[in-house]
Amino acid sequence: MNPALRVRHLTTSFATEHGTARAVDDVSFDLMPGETLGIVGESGSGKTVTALSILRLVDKPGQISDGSIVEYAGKNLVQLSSRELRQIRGAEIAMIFQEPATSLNPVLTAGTQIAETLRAHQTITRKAARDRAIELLQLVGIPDPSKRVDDYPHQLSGGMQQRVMIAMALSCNPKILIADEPTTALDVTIQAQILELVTDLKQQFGMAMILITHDLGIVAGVTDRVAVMYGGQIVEQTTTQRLFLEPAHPYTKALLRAVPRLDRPVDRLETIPGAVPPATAWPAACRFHPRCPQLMDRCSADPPTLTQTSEDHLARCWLLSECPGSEK
Amino acid sequence: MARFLAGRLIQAIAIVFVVASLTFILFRLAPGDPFSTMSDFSSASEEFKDQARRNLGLDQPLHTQYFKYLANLVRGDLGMSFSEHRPVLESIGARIPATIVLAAAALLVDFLLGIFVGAHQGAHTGSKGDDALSVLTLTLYSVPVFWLGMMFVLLFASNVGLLGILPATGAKTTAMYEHLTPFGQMWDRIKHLILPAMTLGLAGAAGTARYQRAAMLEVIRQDFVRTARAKGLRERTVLFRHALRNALLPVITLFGLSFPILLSGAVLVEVVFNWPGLGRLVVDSALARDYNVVTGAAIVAAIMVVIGNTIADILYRIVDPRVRLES
Amino acid sequence: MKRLKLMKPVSYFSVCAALLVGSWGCSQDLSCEGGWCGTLVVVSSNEPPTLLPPFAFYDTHIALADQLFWRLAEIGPEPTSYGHESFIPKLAQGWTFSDDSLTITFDINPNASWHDGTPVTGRDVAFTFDIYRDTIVNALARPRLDRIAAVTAQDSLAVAFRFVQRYPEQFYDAIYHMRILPHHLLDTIPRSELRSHDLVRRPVGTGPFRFASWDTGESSELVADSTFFAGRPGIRRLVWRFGSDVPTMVTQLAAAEVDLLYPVSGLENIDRIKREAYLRTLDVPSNAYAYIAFNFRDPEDLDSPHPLLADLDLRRAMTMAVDREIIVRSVMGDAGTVPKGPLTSGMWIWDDGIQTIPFDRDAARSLLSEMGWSDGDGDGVLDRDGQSLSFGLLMTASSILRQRSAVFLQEQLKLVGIELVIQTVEGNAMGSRMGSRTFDSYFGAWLQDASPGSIAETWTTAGIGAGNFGAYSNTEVDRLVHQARSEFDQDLTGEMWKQIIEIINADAPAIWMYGGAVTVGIHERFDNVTFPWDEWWRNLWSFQVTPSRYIDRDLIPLN
Repeated sequence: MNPALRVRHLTTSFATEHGTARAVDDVSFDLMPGETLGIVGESGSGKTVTALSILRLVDKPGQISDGSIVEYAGKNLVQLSSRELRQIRGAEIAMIFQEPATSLNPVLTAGTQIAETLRAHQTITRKAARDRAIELLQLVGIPDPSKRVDDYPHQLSGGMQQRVMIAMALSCNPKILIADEPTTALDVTIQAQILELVTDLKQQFGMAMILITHDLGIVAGVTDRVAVMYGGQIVEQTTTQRLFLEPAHPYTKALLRAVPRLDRPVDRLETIPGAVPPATAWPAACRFHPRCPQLMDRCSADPPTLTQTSEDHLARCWLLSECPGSEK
Repeated sequence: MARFLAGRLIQAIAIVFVVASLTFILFRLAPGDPFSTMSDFSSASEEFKDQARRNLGLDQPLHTQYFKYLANLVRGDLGMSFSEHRPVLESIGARIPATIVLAAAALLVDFLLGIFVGAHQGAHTGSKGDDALSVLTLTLYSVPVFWLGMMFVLLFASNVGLLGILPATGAKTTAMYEHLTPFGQMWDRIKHLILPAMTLGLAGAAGTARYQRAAMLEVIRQDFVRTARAKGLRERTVLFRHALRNALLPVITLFGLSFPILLSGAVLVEVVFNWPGLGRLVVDSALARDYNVVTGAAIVAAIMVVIGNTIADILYRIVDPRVRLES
Repeated sequence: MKRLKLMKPVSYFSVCAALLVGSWGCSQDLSCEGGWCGTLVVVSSNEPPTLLPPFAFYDTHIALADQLFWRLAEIGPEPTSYGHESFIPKLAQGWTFSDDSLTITFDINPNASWHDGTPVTGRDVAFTFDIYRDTIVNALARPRLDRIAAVTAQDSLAVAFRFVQRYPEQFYDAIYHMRILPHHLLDTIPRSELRSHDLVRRPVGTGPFRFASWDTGESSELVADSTFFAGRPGIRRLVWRFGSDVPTMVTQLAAAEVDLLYPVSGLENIDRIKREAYLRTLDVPSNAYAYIAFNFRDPEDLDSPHPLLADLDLRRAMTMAVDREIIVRSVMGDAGTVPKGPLTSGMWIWDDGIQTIPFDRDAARSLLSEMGWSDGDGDGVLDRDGQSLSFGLLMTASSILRQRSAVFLQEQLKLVGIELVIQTVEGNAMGSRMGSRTFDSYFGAWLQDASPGSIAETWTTAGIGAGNFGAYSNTEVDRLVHQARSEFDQDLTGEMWKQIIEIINADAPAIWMYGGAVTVGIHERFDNVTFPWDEWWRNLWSFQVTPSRYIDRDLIPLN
């Protein structure tokens, strides 16, 4: 099967006064049609920049300095002209963002903002666009959509704002939906609703989805496959199940340990010692090595590459090479 | 809305009262009176001046004059102009149209140009164009407006300018105007309006552009601009419909402030271009100590400020739904 | 945001084309019908408040009013204020003195009429006298009419002026100050409302021009009366443009938007006008002189003499120290002259032989050191007994010439160790300080009429409280002035005035800075251009446009 999205060696760098920061450093992954890929990491890992890079939404002084992003029809998004890129954005690949309150234009109604996506990509009358917008609002679960369509963002609750964002994103039946932490800014109770909505709609529309998150709980419930990012690189990539059952990378293991569990109450929560390094000062060789509980001499000398531990399971760690062929 | 306007009306009345009183009192503190200048050039005797003062009621104690003035003001009587020997209302009324025309034209130039340039700069920060425009706006902003006017005359005025295509001074062609066809008259007035309006407008546009640029920079970094791009909208739509639409809001406040600013800048432009407006009348009257005209003009200016701010507030309400729906 | 519906390109084009075509077909046909055309546009600052003569108090105001209102008679080309033979009949065609010379009877020209057709009568003259003497009207010339006891209309065309006493300027006083007003239009208006009456802004007069329009702040237009009884004016139209400040008015003249600017001050402005081929500059005599007057009293205690300036030797030394020729040459170019006293060369009592204090810097220096002034502390300023030789000069910012000459003056005084501190204030503040006499010295200017009486207003003891702000007082001068003003023989009078002026000069109450001539800028297409010394505007109605040089506005029809 042709991947919906094929990202190879994507590198996005920022020119700063402290030097060039490679926020996304040689990242490669595939997104298969219909699947949900989770990208997980702490802040500063490069996950959001990765997501933005796909649609070339990274603002100056950042720019994609290397790599290719090839969508299902074979077009390399990195090399598209502005006009071609515009045709992809919102239509073939759509994106929803973390803060719905600031991600919606405060002076335009919900309906207008949904309709303009429609009218940008289809020849459709204003009336028809408005009707479709009302339909979409209904679809995303907003009550009384024919009234709400004329509401301004500030008149809607956080959850409803995110639903409007979703409606906007889905309006042109995209093949891929990128969701950058869509529930982080919402109440816990709403989070579940939104996630459910998104997964339902994904099924309905037959989309592939990239879900950026730092929350492993969401990963467990929603994603099919996961990529863990640290220091601008993917450090582990596998199916969700295998990630949780057989984590290979020390970072992944530490993340999993840090999640509080109902069935294993502890006096103190586990943390990962140290802090996430800034993109201008990645540690040499293995970027996790200063914080790694299983540190070896080699780790600070040679940068590890992604190696296959088992089928459909890659990890970037020298531990895997120590005992070639064996697990963990 | 009705309550809002009623509130503004009350505010206006209070402001007018304060302005009238302050102007009345402060102006009379200045040395001299309408007849002091007569010491220069003509030998007006003290007796003449005393009689003149008596004729105009200036010999009465200040508080008597003040209360008389207020009493008249309430009836809508702004008093008589000493210099023009006719009611102040007439005197000011004869000049207001010219000032309004100039101010309106200047406002148009100011905001159209300023918003466009500022928005362009904000959308293309750091580019060579942005840098060049910043230098240009700073220069125009710093340059005295009368100097700018004189430069325009030297560039564009017939007979004296490099490109002599426009009239140097006045609101219409002396003597010839009455004998033009209606079309010709309209065209004549437009030709005369161009240089003074450009002078006043460009000076204002420079300030507006800088303000707009800053507002645009603020807005363009916002998340919803990114959303708009992510939706695949044309960059032009992103800039205008999304960014500028929001960046205009602070500039609307500028609009309300520009009324009094226009009045003061208009004086200098009116002198350089010999424009028959209110600004010159006020300056000439101040120099001649024509108390009633200056006080009357101050009242008119105060009313204009209130109107300007009210318009700005109403505009804000129209444009920003968050403000509108609050009430 | 709603999209603007843009017009299709075709409609744009047709709108623009229509505008262009429309602007070409702009004005009606222009031609010189009957060979009589011409429009003179005069520009001056200071828009007059009214066009009725008794309410005018600046020359710029009366200049416009005088085109509409005439006097009974005018001064002749040789300006004298004595006698009557050299005067020119205007509204009056003749006059006779009574045997006792206390009454002058004027015969009004039967062809003289008001612009509305009503004939001018003796009643108008009598009415005018009433108005000018009325305290409510408070005309500036009121005191000048003191010695006229009564003016009575004898019949419709004769009017008699009866005087309180015989004196040489009887005729002058009878005709010079009053511009005749229409009794039939103004009689019924209460005096207190006269000033603001409609007629004030739409006057009906007797002059060669009729009032046509007045756009406040812009211009006033007068149209010539082709059947005017004293002859058809040389131009068809006279437009008075109200300018703002000197640079703008010079620009207007340079741009040919106006035709005449009186005066053109400042050498750079004169040069600018000279550079245009279609403009001419003329140096014409003027009746204004500028001077720096000293305060004889102490500004802080008006009963005491001024600590510095009350000293005659000091004043003489200062006058000697200033090279006024250089100043005038630098500020006014060749047109400028240094007055020989408080008068200009146009006045009939002027004598080239009037003695003045000569410029002699060395003599000034020695006089000062004789007086005990020396530069003890080496700061460049003379001092004596702990007092510095420093004082202030009060002046306004509005005159370019005064500003520039003051700076030169300051430099020159510095050369002999005198420090002049220039204090520039705005017109009204200046007037008020002059009135209250709180100054050391001030830079003033006088406009004179043809009568030497104007000298008396400023430089006699009686003038203190009127024009004599420095409180200069010399009883000899007072006595001689009184004598001179009663002397009937013109030659004797001239001698007396020469003596008076020489005494004044010797007292050095002021430094006479410049005066007597101004530069005028006028469009070269005008002929028959003359500017009387005392009232430059008097002959405007005789100006003509050379037929081969008509421009657009000369050809506007008379409708």
